[in-house]
Amino acid sequence: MSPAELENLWPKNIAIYYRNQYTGDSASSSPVELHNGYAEILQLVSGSMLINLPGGKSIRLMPGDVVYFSEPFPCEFLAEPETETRNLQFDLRWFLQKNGFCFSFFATSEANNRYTVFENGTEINKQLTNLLDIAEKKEETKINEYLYGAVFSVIGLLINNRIIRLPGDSDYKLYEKLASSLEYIQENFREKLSLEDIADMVGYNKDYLSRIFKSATGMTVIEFINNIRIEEARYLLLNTDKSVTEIALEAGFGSNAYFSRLFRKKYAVTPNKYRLNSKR
Amino acid sequence: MKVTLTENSYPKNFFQGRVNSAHTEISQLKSPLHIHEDASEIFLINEGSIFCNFHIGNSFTAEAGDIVFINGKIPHETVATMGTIINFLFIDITTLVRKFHPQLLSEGCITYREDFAVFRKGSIENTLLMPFLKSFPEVTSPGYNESAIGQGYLIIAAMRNAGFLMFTDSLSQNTFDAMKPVFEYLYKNFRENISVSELAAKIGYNADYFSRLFRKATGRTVIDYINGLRLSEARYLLLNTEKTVTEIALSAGFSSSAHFFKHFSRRYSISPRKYRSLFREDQKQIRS
Repeated sequence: MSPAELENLWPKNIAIYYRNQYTGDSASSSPVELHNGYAEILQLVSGSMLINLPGGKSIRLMPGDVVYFSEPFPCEFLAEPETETRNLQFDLRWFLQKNGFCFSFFATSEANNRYTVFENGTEINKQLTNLLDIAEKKEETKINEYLYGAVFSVIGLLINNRIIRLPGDSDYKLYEKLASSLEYIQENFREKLSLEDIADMVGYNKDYLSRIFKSATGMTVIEFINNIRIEEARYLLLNTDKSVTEIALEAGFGSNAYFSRLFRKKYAVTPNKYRLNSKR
Repeated sequence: MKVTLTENSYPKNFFQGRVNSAHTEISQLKSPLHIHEDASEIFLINEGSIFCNFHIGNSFTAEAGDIVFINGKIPHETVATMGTIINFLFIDITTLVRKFHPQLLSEGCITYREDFAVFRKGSIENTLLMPFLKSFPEVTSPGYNESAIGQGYLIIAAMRNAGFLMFTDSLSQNTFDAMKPVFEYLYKNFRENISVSELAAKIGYNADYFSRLFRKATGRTVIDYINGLRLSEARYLLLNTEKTVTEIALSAGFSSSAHFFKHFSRRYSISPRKYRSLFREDQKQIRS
Protein backbone atom coordinates (compact mmCIF):
# COMPACT_ATOMS: atom_id res chain seq x y z
CA MET A 1 0.00 0.00 0.00
CA SER A 2 1.39 3.40 -0.92
CA PRO A 3 1.63 6.19 1.64
CA ALA A 4 -1.16 7.97 -0.23
CA GLU A 5 -3.51 5.04 0.18
CA LEU A 6 -2.45 4.56 3.74
CA GLU A 7 -3.32 8.13 4.49
CA ASN A 8 -6.94 7.46 3.69
CA LEU A 9 -7.16 4.79 6.33
CA TRP A 10 -8.17 5.52 9.86
CA PRO A 11 -7.46 5.38 12.66
CA LYS A 12 -3.81 5.68 11.91
CA ASN A 13 -1.03 5.88 14.41
CA ILE A 14 0.65 9.01 13.17
CA ALA A 15 1.78 9.83 16.69
CA ILE A 16 2.47 7.77 19.77
CA TYR A 17 3.24 8.75 23.32
CA TYR A 18 4.50 6.30 25.93
CA ARG A 19 6.65 5.88 28.99
CA ASN A 20 9.45 3.37 29.00
CA GLN A 21 10.87 1.85 32.18
CA TYR A 22 14.24 0.18 32.23
CA THR A 23 14.43 -2.24 35.15
CA GLY A 24 16.97 -4.78 36.29
CA ASP A 25 19.95 -4.78 38.59
CA SER A 26 22.67 -4.06 36.11
CA ALA A 27 22.69 -1.53 33.34
CA SER A 28 20.24 -2.74 30.74
CA SER A 29 20.48 -1.99 27.11
CA SER A 30 18.19 -2.24 24.17
CA PRO A 31 20.75 -2.75 21.45
CA VAL A 32 19.27 -0.98 18.50
CA GLU A 33 16.12 1.05 18.21
CA LEU A 34 14.71 2.59 15.11
CA HIS A 35 11.83 4.74 16.30
CA ASN A 36 9.30 3.02 14.02
CA GLY A 37 10.35 5.24 11.17
CA TYR A 38 9.21 8.38 12.97
CA ALA A 39 10.83 11.46 14.38
CA GLU A 40 11.08 11.28 18.15
CA ILE A 41 11.22 13.41 21.26
CA LEU A 42 12.67 11.55 24.22
CA GLN A 43 12.93 12.84 27.76
CA LEU A 44 14.79 11.19 30.57
CA VAL A 45 12.47 11.23 33.59
CA SER A 46 14.78 9.53 36.07
CA GLY A 47 18.01 7.56 36.14
CA SER A 48 20.75 7.97 33.62
CA MET A 49 21.16 6.94 30.02
CA LEU A 50 23.88 6.66 27.45
CA ILE A 51 22.93 6.69 23.79
CA ASN A 52 25.51 5.37 21.34
CA LEU A 53 25.09 6.77 17.87
CA PRO A 54 26.43 5.26 14.69
CA GLY A 55 29.89 6.56 13.94
CA GLY A 56 31.19 6.27 17.49
CA LYS A 57 29.51 9.35 18.99
CA SER A 58 27.46 9.13 22.16
CA ILE A 59 25.11 11.24 24.25
CA ARG A 60 24.84 11.14 28.03
CA LEU A 61 21.38 12.15 29.29
CA MET A 62 20.61 13.44 32.77
CA PRO A 63 17.10 13.57 34.24
CA GLY A 64 15.02 16.28 32.55
CA ASP A 65 17.14 16.34 29.39
CA VAL A 66 15.30 16.07 26.11
CA VAL A 67 16.69 14.75 22.84
CA TYR A 68 15.11 15.13 19.43
CA PHE A 69 15.79 12.59 16.69
CA SER A 70 14.83 13.99 13.31
CA GLU A 71 14.82 10.68 11.52
CA PRO A 72 15.13 7.04 12.33
CA PHE A 73 18.61 5.62 12.51
CA PRO A 74 19.97 2.84 14.63
CA CYS A 75 21.32 3.77 18.04
CA GLU A 76 22.11 1.84 21.15
CA PHE A 77 20.43 2.75 24.43
CA LEU A 78 22.22 1.93 27.68
CA ALA A 79 20.24 2.66 30.80
CA GLU A 80 21.04 2.43 34.49
CA PRO A 81 18.53 0.50 36.61
CA GLU A 82 15.45 2.53 37.63
CA THR A 83 15.67 4.61 34.51
CA GLU A 84 12.48 5.96 33.00
CA THR A 85 11.96 7.84 29.75
CA ARG A 86 8.97 9.31 28.07
CA ASN A 87 8.77 9.29 24.32
CA LEU A 88 6.72 11.10 21.72
CA GLN A 89 7.10 9.67 18.23
CA PHE A 90 5.47 11.18 15.21
CA ASP A 91 5.45 10.97 11.47
CA LEU A 92 6.94 14.38 10.70
CA ARG A 93 6.27 14.24 6.98
CA TRP A 94 2.67 13.30 7.53
CA PHE A 95 2.09 16.21 9.89
CA LEU A 96 3.73 18.71 7.59
CA GLN A 97 1.73 17.41 4.67
CA LYS A 98 -1.48 17.57 6.65
CA ASN A 99 -0.71 21.18 7.22
CA GLY A 100 -0.64 21.88 3.52
CA PHE A 101 3.11 21.98 3.27
CA CYS A 102 3.24 19.88 0.14
CA PHE A 103 6.99 19.78 -0.22
CA SER A 104 7.44 18.25 3.18
CA PHE A 105 10.41 16.25 1.97
CA PHE A 106 12.27 19.55 2.02
CA ALA A 107 12.16 19.61 5.76
CA THR A 108 15.75 19.30 6.80
CA SER A 109 17.56 19.63 10.05
CA GLU A 110 20.20 22.15 10.92
CA ALA A 111 23.59 21.14 9.53
CA ASN A 112 22.12 17.72 8.81
CA ASN A 113 22.01 16.94 12.49
CA ARG A 114 19.92 13.88 13.09
CA TYR A 115 19.66 14.57 16.77
CA THR A 116 19.62 17.62 19.02
CA VAL A 117 19.94 17.64 22.80
CA PHE A 118 18.06 20.20 24.91
CA GLU A 119 19.54 20.24 28.36
CA ASN A 120 17.41 20.55 31.44
CA GLY A 121 16.91 24.18 32.43
CA THR A 122 17.00 25.74 28.97
CA GLU A 123 13.95 27.64 27.70
CA ILE A 124 13.19 25.25 24.86
CA ASN A 125 13.57 22.29 27.22
CA LYS A 126 10.87 23.85 29.42
CA GLN A 127 8.54 24.29 26.48
CA LEU A 128 9.12 20.74 25.25
CA THR A 129 8.51 19.41 28.77
CA ASN A 130 5.17 21.26 28.82
CA LEU A 131 4.21 19.74 25.50
CA LEU A 132 5.13 16.24 26.71
CA ASP A 133 2.87 16.86 29.72
CA ILE A 134 0.07 17.73 27.34
CA ALA A 135 0.70 14.64 25.20
CA GLU A 136 0.47 12.62 28.39
CA LYS A 137 -3.00 14.02 29.01
CA LYS A 138 -4.12 11.96 26.03
CA GLU A 139 -3.49 8.78 28.02
CA GLU A 140 -5.63 10.02 30.83
CA THR A 141 -8.49 11.49 28.79
CA LYS A 142 -8.38 9.38 25.59
CA ILE A 143 -8.77 12.63 23.67
CA ASN A 144 -6.52 12.43 20.62
CA GLU A 145 -6.52 16.18 20.05
CA TYR A 146 -4.17 16.58 23.01
CA LEU A 147 -1.67 14.45 21.13
CA TYR A 148 -2.14 16.16 17.76
CA GLY A 149 -1.98 19.57 19.40
CA ALA A 150 1.20 18.65 21.24
CA VAL A 151 2.85 17.30 18.08
CA PHE A 152 1.96 20.34 15.97
CA SER A 153 3.22 22.61 18.72
CA VAL A 154 6.46 20.63 19.01
CA ILE A 155 6.97 20.94 15.26
CA GLY A 156 6.23 24.67 15.41
CA LEU A 157 8.69 25.11 18.25
CA LEU A 158 11.40 23.16 16.45
CA ILE A 159 10.87 25.15 13.28
CA ASN A 160 10.97 28.33 15.32
CA ASN A 161 14.30 27.28 16.79
CA ARG A 162 15.65 26.29 13.38
CA ILE A 163 15.97 22.66 14.38
CA ILE A 164 13.60 21.73 11.60
CA ARG A 165 14.10 23.88 8.54
CA LEU A 166 11.44 24.64 5.99
CA PRO A 167 12.02 26.85 3.00
CA GLY A 168 11.72 30.45 4.11
CA ASP A 169 9.78 33.18 2.33
CA SER A 170 12.56 34.07 -0.03
CA ASP A 171 13.02 30.46 -1.02
CA TYR A 172 9.38 30.11 -1.91
CA LYS A 173 9.96 31.82 -5.25
CA LEU A 174 12.47 29.13 -6.05
CA TYR A 175 10.09 26.40 -4.95
CA GLU A 176 7.42 27.81 -7.18
CA LYS A 177 9.78 27.59 -10.11
CA LEU A 178 10.60 24.05 -9.15
CA ALA A 179 7.04 22.95 -8.44
CA SER A 180 6.42 21.23 -11.76
CA SER A 181 9.77 19.39 -11.71
CA LEU A 182 9.06 18.24 -8.17
CA GLU A 183 5.65 16.95 -9.10
CA TYR A 184 7.14 15.16 -12.07
CA ILE A 185 9.81 13.56 -9.89
CA GLN A 186 7.28 12.65 -7.23
CA GLU A 187 5.19 10.81 -9.80
CA ASN A 188 7.97 9.18 -11.77
CA PHE A 189 10.84 8.44 -9.39
CA ARG A 190 10.16 4.71 -9.68
CA GLU A 191 11.15 4.88 -13.36
CA LYS A 192 14.51 5.68 -14.84
CA LEU A 193 14.93 9.47 -14.63
CA SER A 194 17.64 11.73 -15.91
CA LEU A 195 18.25 15.44 -15.51
CA GLU A 196 17.69 15.85 -19.27
CA ASP A 197 14.27 14.15 -19.09
CA ILE A 198 13.11 16.41 -16.30
CA ALA A 199 14.45 19.57 -17.92
CA ASP A 200 12.70 18.63 -21.18
CA MET A 201 9.50 17.83 -19.38
CA VAL A 202 9.23 21.17 -17.61
CA GLY A 203 10.81 23.24 -20.36
CA TYR A 204 13.90 24.54 -18.56
CA ASN A 205 17.45 24.50 -19.73
CA LYS A 206 19.17 21.68 -17.83
CA ASP A 207 21.98 23.81 -16.45
CA TYR A 208 19.49 26.34 -15.14
CA LEU A 209 17.39 23.57 -13.59
CA SER A 210 20.30 21.99 -11.81
CA ARG A 211 21.42 25.38 -10.52
CA ILE A 212 18.08 26.36 -8.99
CA PHE A 213 17.65 22.82 -7.69
CA LYS A 214 20.90 22.98 -5.85
CA SER A 215 20.20 26.36 -4.32
CA ALA A 216 16.70 25.40 -3.23
CA THR A 217 17.36 21.97 -1.81
CA GLY A 218 21.08 21.87 -1.26
CA MET A 219 21.14 18.66 -3.28
CA THR A 220 21.76 17.79 -6.89
CA VAL A 221 18.80 16.46 -8.84
CA ILE A 222 20.17 12.92 -8.69
CA GLU A 223 20.83 13.09 -4.95
CA PHE A 224 17.36 14.38 -4.47
CA ILE A 225 15.77 11.58 -6.50
CA ASN A 226 17.84 8.98 -4.69
CA ASN A 227 16.69 10.40 -1.39
CA ILE A 228 13.06 9.96 -2.34
CA ARG A 229 13.81 6.44 -3.56
CA ILE A 230 15.53 5.54 -0.31
CA GLU A 231 12.57 6.82 1.70
CA GLU A 232 10.17 4.83 -0.45
CA ALA A 233 12.36 1.74 -0.08
CA ARG A 234 12.59 2.24 3.67
CA TYR A 235 8.83 2.47 3.78
CA LEU A 236 8.51 -0.79 1.82
CA LEU A 237 11.11 -2.48 4.04
CA LEU A 238 9.17 -1.70 7.16
CA ASN A 239 5.69 -2.30 5.81
CA THR A 240 5.89 -5.16 3.33
CA ASP A 241 7.47 -8.61 3.13
CA LYS A 242 9.07 -8.02 -0.25
CA SER A 243 12.70 -8.99 -0.75
CA VAL A 244 15.37 -6.32 -0.72
CA THR A 245 16.01 -6.81 -4.44
CA GLU A 246 12.35 -6.42 -5.27
CA ILE A 247 12.20 -3.30 -3.16
CA ALA A 248 15.32 -1.82 -4.76
CA LEU A 249 13.83 -2.24 -8.21
CA GLU A 250 10.39 -1.08 -7.19
CA ALA A 251 11.76 2.10 -5.63
CA GLY A 252 13.54 2.90 -8.89
CA PHE A 253 17.11 1.86 -8.16
CA GLY A 254 18.89 0.21 -11.06
CA SER A 255 20.35 -2.53 -8.91
CA ASN A 256 20.32 -3.99 -5.44
CA ALA A 257 24.00 -3.21 -4.94
CA TYR A 258 23.55 0.49 -5.67
CA PHE A 259 20.53 0.65 -3.35
CA SER A 260 22.34 -1.13 -0.52
CA ARG A 261 25.32 1.16 -0.83
CA LEU A 262 23.24 4.33 -0.63
CA PHE A 263 21.09 2.93 2.15
CA ARG A 264 24.10 2.07 4.26
CA LYS A 265 25.50 5.50 3.70
CA LYS A 266 22.35 7.06 5.14
CA TYR A 267 21.29 4.61 7.83
CA ALA A 268 24.60 2.99 8.76
CA VAL A 269 23.19 -0.56 8.44
CA THR A 270 22.23 -2.80 5.53
CA PRO A 271 18.57 -2.83 4.45
CA ASN A 272 18.16 -6.38 5.75
CA LYS A 273 19.58 -5.55 9.14
CA TYR A 274 17.42 -2.45 9.30
CA ARG A 275 14.31 -4.49 8.69
CA LEU A 276 15.30 -7.12 11.26
CA ASN A 277 16.02 -4.51 13.91
CA SER A 278 12.67 -2.86 13.49
CA LYS A 279 10.87 -6.19 13.85
CA ARG A 280 12.44 -7.12 17.10
CA MET B 1 -11.09 50.09 16.10
CA LYS B 2 -7.63 48.77 15.51
CA VAL B 3 -7.44 45.05 15.09
CA THR B 4 -4.41 43.21 13.87
CA LEU B 5 -5.37 40.01 12.17
CA THR B 6 -3.18 37.41 10.67
CA GLU B 7 -4.70 35.06 8.24
CA ASN B 8 -3.23 31.64 8.11
CA SER B 9 -2.97 29.86 4.81
CA TYR B 10 -4.40 26.68 6.20
CA PRO B 11 -6.85 25.92 7.61
CA LYS B 12 -8.67 28.93 6.35
CA ASN B 13 -10.24 31.14 8.94
CA PHE B 14 -7.72 30.49 11.60
CA PHE B 15 -7.16 33.98 12.95
CA GLN B 16 -5.77 35.15 16.16
CA GLY B 17 -5.25 38.54 17.60
CA ARG B 18 -5.61 40.95 20.41
CA VAL B 19 -8.15 43.74 20.52
CA ASN B 20 -7.78 46.67 22.79
CA SER B 21 -10.75 49.00 22.96
CA ALA B 22 -8.75 51.69 24.70
CA HIS B 23 -7.07 52.47 21.39
CA THR B 24 -10.34 53.05 19.60
CA GLU B 25 -11.75 56.47 19.01
CA ILE B 26 -15.27 55.56 19.97
CA SER B 27 -15.89 55.07 23.63
CA GLN B 28 -17.21 51.58 23.15
CA LEU B 29 -16.07 48.74 21.00
CA LYS B 30 -19.10 47.57 19.12
CA SER B 31 -19.51 44.87 16.49
CA PRO B 32 -23.01 45.02 15.03
CA LEU B 33 -24.97 41.83 14.32
CA HIS B 34 -22.79 39.56 12.20
CA ILE B 35 -21.94 35.97 11.32
CA HIS B 36 -18.81 34.16 10.16
CA GLU B 37 -18.61 31.75 7.28
CA ASP B 38 -16.78 28.89 8.99
CA ALA B 39 -15.20 30.17 12.12
CA SER B 40 -16.04 29.90 15.75
CA GLU B 41 -14.90 32.67 17.99
CA ILE B 42 -13.21 32.08 21.28
CA PHE B 43 -11.80 34.82 23.45
CA LEU B 44 -10.34 35.54 26.83
CA ILE B 45 -11.17 38.85 28.46
CA ASN B 46 -8.02 40.26 30.01
CA GLU B 47 -9.51 43.50 31.24
CA GLY B 48 -12.93 45.13 31.09
CA SER B 49 -16.17 43.44 30.15
CA ILE B 50 -18.17 42.46 27.11
CA PHE B 51 -21.88 42.33 26.48
CA CYS B 52 -23.00 39.87 23.84
CA ASN B 53 -26.43 39.72 22.30
CA PHE B 54 -27.97 37.02 20.14
CA HIS B 55 -30.88 37.58 17.90
CA ILE B 56 -32.90 34.89 19.63
CA GLY B 57 -33.17 37.12 22.68
CA ASN B 58 -30.33 35.49 24.59
CA SER B 59 -27.58 37.67 25.92
CA PHE B 60 -24.82 37.61 28.48
CA THR B 61 -22.15 39.79 30.02
CA ALA B 62 -18.67 38.43 30.53
CA GLU B 63 -16.04 39.90 32.81
CA ALA B 64 -12.25 39.88 33.05
CA GLY B 65 -10.97 36.30 33.41
CA ASP B 66 -13.98 34.79 31.64
CA ILE B 67 -13.62 32.87 28.41
CA VAL B 68 -16.33 33.18 25.77
CA PHE B 69 -17.18 30.71 23.04
CA ILE B 70 -19.43 31.69 20.13
CA ASN B 71 -20.39 29.45 17.25
CA GLY B 72 -19.77 32.00 14.50
CA LYS B 73 -22.65 30.71 12.41
CA ILE B 74 -25.14 32.11 14.89
CA PRO B 75 -25.83 35.83 14.37
CA HIS B 76 -24.42 37.81 17.27
CA GLU B 77 -23.40 41.30 18.26
CA THR B 78 -20.95 42.41 20.92
CA VAL B 79 -20.30 45.59 22.85
CA ALA B 80 -17.21 46.10 24.98
CA THR B 81 -16.73 48.66 27.68
CA MET B 82 -13.97 51.25 27.45
CA GLY B 83 -10.57 49.79 28.22
CA THR B 84 -11.45 46.20 27.44
CA ILE B 85 -8.63 43.99 26.25
CA ILE B 86 -9.31 40.57 24.80
CA ASN B 87 -7.22 37.76 23.34
CA PHE B 88 -9.23 36.18 20.61
CA LEU B 89 -8.98 33.32 18.22
CA PHE B 90 -11.11 32.44 15.25
CA ILE B 91 -10.98 28.75 14.73
CA ASP B 92 -12.57 26.60 12.08
CA ILE B 93 -13.35 23.61 14.26
CA THR B 94 -14.92 21.51 11.49
CA THR B 95 -11.89 21.76 9.21
CA LEU B 96 -9.41 21.08 11.97
CA VAL B 97 -11.32 18.12 13.31
CA ARG B 98 -11.78 16.53 9.93
CA LYS B 99 -8.05 16.45 9.25
CA PHE B 100 -7.73 13.69 11.78
CA HIS B 101 -11.24 12.30 11.70
CA PRO B 102 -12.13 11.96 8.02
CA GLN B 103 -14.94 9.69 9.15
CA LEU B 104 -16.70 12.67 10.67
CA LEU B 105 -18.31 13.47 7.39
CA SER B 106 -19.86 16.77 8.20
CA GLU B 107 -20.43 19.37 10.78
CA GLY B 108 -23.43 17.28 11.79
CA CYS B 109 -21.03 14.82 13.43
CA ILE B 110 -19.76 17.45 15.84
CA THR B 111 -22.12 18.41 18.61
CA TYR B 112 -21.71 21.53 20.70
CA ARG B 113 -23.34 21.53 24.07
CA GLU B 114 -24.30 25.14 23.38
CA ASP B 115 -23.88 27.49 20.44
CA PHE B 116 -22.41 30.07 22.74
CA ALA B 117 -21.15 29.94 26.28
CA VAL B 118 -19.34 31.88 28.94
CA PHE B 119 -16.79 29.78 30.76
CA ARG B 120 -16.64 31.69 34.01
CA LYS B 121 -13.37 32.28 35.78
CA GLY B 122 -12.61 29.25 37.94
CA SER B 123 -14.82 26.77 36.04
CA ILE B 124 -13.38 23.51 34.65
CA GLU B 125 -13.63 24.70 31.07
CA ASN B 126 -11.96 27.96 31.95
CA THR B 127 -9.09 26.24 33.74
CA LEU B 128 -8.54 23.85 30.87
CA LEU B 129 -8.64 26.49 28.13
CA MET B 130 -6.74 29.27 29.90
CA PRO B 131 -3.16 28.11 29.21
CA PHE B 132 -3.85 27.69 25.48
CA LEU B 133 -5.50 31.08 25.11
CA LYS B 134 -2.84 32.90 27.08
CA SER B 135 0.23 31.77 25.21
CA PHE B 136 -0.23 32.59 21.58
CA PRO B 137 2.73 31.81 19.39
CA GLU B 138 4.52 34.82 17.93
CA VAL B 139 2.74 35.65 14.68
CA THR B 140 5.68 36.55 12.48
CA SER B 141 8.00 33.80 13.60
CA PRO B 142 8.81 30.73 11.55
CA GLY B 143 6.82 27.73 12.68
CA TYR B 144 3.89 29.97 13.57
CA ASN B 145 1.60 28.00 11.28
CA GLU B 146 2.26 24.70 12.99
CA SER B 147 2.16 26.21 16.47
CA ALA B 148 -1.14 27.94 15.77
CA ILE B 149 -2.68 24.74 14.54
CA GLY B 150 -1.30 22.92 17.56
CA GLN B 151 -2.98 25.58 19.68
CA GLY B 152 -6.23 25.00 17.82
CA TYR B 153 -6.14 21.28 18.60
CA LEU B 154 -5.34 21.91 22.23
CA ILE B 155 -8.38 24.15 22.49
CA ILE B 156 -10.54 21.50 20.88
CA ALA B 157 -9.07 18.91 23.25
CA ALA B 158 -9.81 21.04 26.30
CA MET B 159 -13.37 21.65 25.12
CA ARG B 160 -13.93 17.94 24.58
CA ASN B 161 -12.38 17.19 27.93
CA ALA B 162 -14.85 19.52 29.61
CA GLY B 163 -17.72 17.88 27.74
CA PHE B 164 -18.48 20.96 25.69
CA LEU B 165 -17.76 19.36 22.32
CA MET B 166 -18.77 15.85 21.36
CA PHE B 167 -17.80 13.85 18.31
CA THR B 168 -19.79 10.91 17.08
CA ASP B 169 -16.61 8.87 17.18
CA SER B 170 -16.41 9.14 20.93
CA LEU B 171 -18.83 6.21 20.88
CA SER B 172 -17.60 2.71 21.45
CA GLN B 173 -15.85 1.31 18.41
CA ASN B 174 -18.58 -1.30 17.96
CA THR B 175 -21.42 1.16 17.96
CA PHE B 176 -19.52 3.41 15.61
CA ASP B 177 -18.71 0.56 13.23
CA ALA B 178 -22.35 -0.45 13.17
CA MET B 179 -23.50 3.10 12.50
CA LYS B 180 -20.82 4.07 10.00
CA PRO B 181 -22.70 2.91 6.89
CA VAL B 182 -25.70 4.85 8.13
CA PHE B 183 -23.73 8.08 8.48
CA GLU B 184 -22.23 7.55 5.06
CA TYR B 185 -25.59 6.82 3.52
CA LEU B 186 -27.14 9.87 5.17
CA TYR B 187 -24.35 12.11 4.02
CA LYS B 188 -24.81 11.02 0.42
CA ASN B 189 -28.59 10.96 0.40
CA PHE B 190 -29.86 13.62 2.76
CA ARG B 191 -31.29 15.53 -0.19
CA GLU B 192 -33.77 12.70 -0.81
CA ASN B 193 -36.71 11.51 1.21
CA ILE B 194 -35.44 9.20 3.94
CA SER B 195 -37.47 7.24 6.47
CA VAL B 196 -36.23 5.80 9.75
CA SER B 197 -37.44 2.27 9.00
CA GLU B 198 -35.64 2.32 5.67
CA LEU B 199 -32.40 3.32 7.41
CA ALA B 200 -32.78 0.71 10.13
CA ALA B 201 -33.34 -1.97 7.49
CA LYS B 202 -30.05 -1.01 5.83
CA ILE B 203 -28.07 -2.33 8.75
CA GLY B 204 -30.60 -4.96 9.69
CA TYR B 205 -31.93 -3.38 12.88
CA ASN B 206 -35.40 -3.00 14.20
CA ALA B 207 -36.59 0.62 13.78
CA ASP B 208 -37.11 1.26 17.50
CA TYR B 209 -33.76 -0.14 18.50
CA PHE B 210 -32.13 1.80 15.70
CA SER B 211 -33.70 5.08 16.81
CA ARG B 212 -32.47 4.56 20.35
CA LEU B 213 -28.98 3.70 19.18
CA PHE B 214 -28.91 6.71 16.90
CA ARG B 215 -30.00 8.96 19.69
CA LYS B 216 -27.27 7.58 21.89
CA ALA B 217 -24.70 8.01 19.12
CA THR B 218 -25.45 11.56 18.09
CA GLY B 219 -27.51 13.00 20.90
CA ARG B 220 -30.23 13.74 18.35
CA THR B 221 -33.13 12.02 16.65
CA VAL B 222 -32.70 10.76 13.10
CA ILE B 223 -34.97 13.46 11.72
CA ASP B 224 -33.12 16.19 13.61
CA TYR B 225 -29.85 14.87 12.31
CA ILE B 226 -31.04 14.79 8.69
CA ASN B 227 -32.44 18.29 9.03
CA GLY B 228 -29.06 19.35 10.43
CA LEU B 229 -27.33 18.08 7.29
CA ARG B 230 -29.90 19.81 5.10
CA LEU B 231 -29.55 23.07 6.99
CA SER B 232 -25.81 23.06 6.72
CA GLU B 233 -26.06 22.41 2.97
CA ALA B 234 -28.67 25.17 2.61
CA ARG B 235 -26.53 27.53 4.63
CA TYR B 236 -23.59 26.83 2.34
CA LEU B 237 -25.72 27.51 -0.75
CA LEU B 238 -27.09 30.71 0.76
CA LEU B 239 -23.64 32.11 1.38
CA ASN B 240 -21.94 30.84 -1.76
CA THR B 241 -24.49 30.91 -4.59
CA GLU B 242 -27.10 33.27 -6.02
CA LYS B 243 -29.92 30.72 -5.91
CA THR B 244 -33.27 31.82 -4.53
CA VAL B 245 -34.42 30.65 -1.12
CA THR B 246 -37.02 28.33 -2.66
CA GLU B 247 -34.46 26.74 -4.98
CA ILE B 248 -32.11 26.25 -2.07
CA ALA B 249 -34.80 24.74 0.12
CA LEU B 250 -35.64 22.14 -2.51
CA SER B 251 -32.08 21.30 -3.53
CA ALA B 252 -31.06 20.81 0.11
CA GLY B 253 -33.87 18.27 0.53
CA PHE B 254 -36.56 20.25 2.36
CA SER B 255 -40.08 19.45 1.17
CA SER B 256 -41.06 23.11 0.85
CA SER B 257 -39.63 26.55 1.37
CA ALA B 258 -41.99 27.07 4.32
CA HIS B 259 -40.55 23.98 5.97
CA PHE B 260 -37.03 25.24 5.31
CA PHE B 261 -37.90 28.70 6.59
CA LYS B 262 -39.23 27.28 9.83
CA HIS B 263 -36.14 25.14 10.50
CA PHE B 264 -33.69 27.79 9.45
CA SER B 265 -35.21 30.53 11.57
CA ARG B 266 -35.32 28.24 14.56
CA ARG B 267 -31.66 27.30 14.19
CA TYR B 268 -30.18 30.66 13.23
CA SER B 269 -32.77 32.98 14.76
CA ILE B 270 -33.21 35.03 11.56
CA SER B 271 -34.72 34.36 8.16
CA PRO B 272 -32.58 32.85 5.37
CA ARG B 273 -32.80 36.04 3.32
CA LYS B 274 -31.73 38.21 6.25
CA TYR B 275 -28.92 35.77 7.01
CA ARG B 276 -27.61 36.04 3.48
CA SER B 277 -27.68 39.82 3.50
CA LEU B 278 -25.94 39.95 6.90
CA PHE B 279 -23.14 37.86 5.51
CA ARG B 280 -22.87 39.85 2.28
CA GLU B 281 -22.67 43.16 4.16
CA ASP B 282 -19.98 41.72 6.35
CA GLN B 283 -17.99 40.59 3.31
CA LYS B 284 -18.35 44.01 1.68
CA GLN B 285 -16.97 45.65 4.81
CA ILE B 286 -14.02 43.30 4.91
CA ARG B 287 -13.22 44.04 1.29
CA SER B 288 -13.54 47.81 1.57
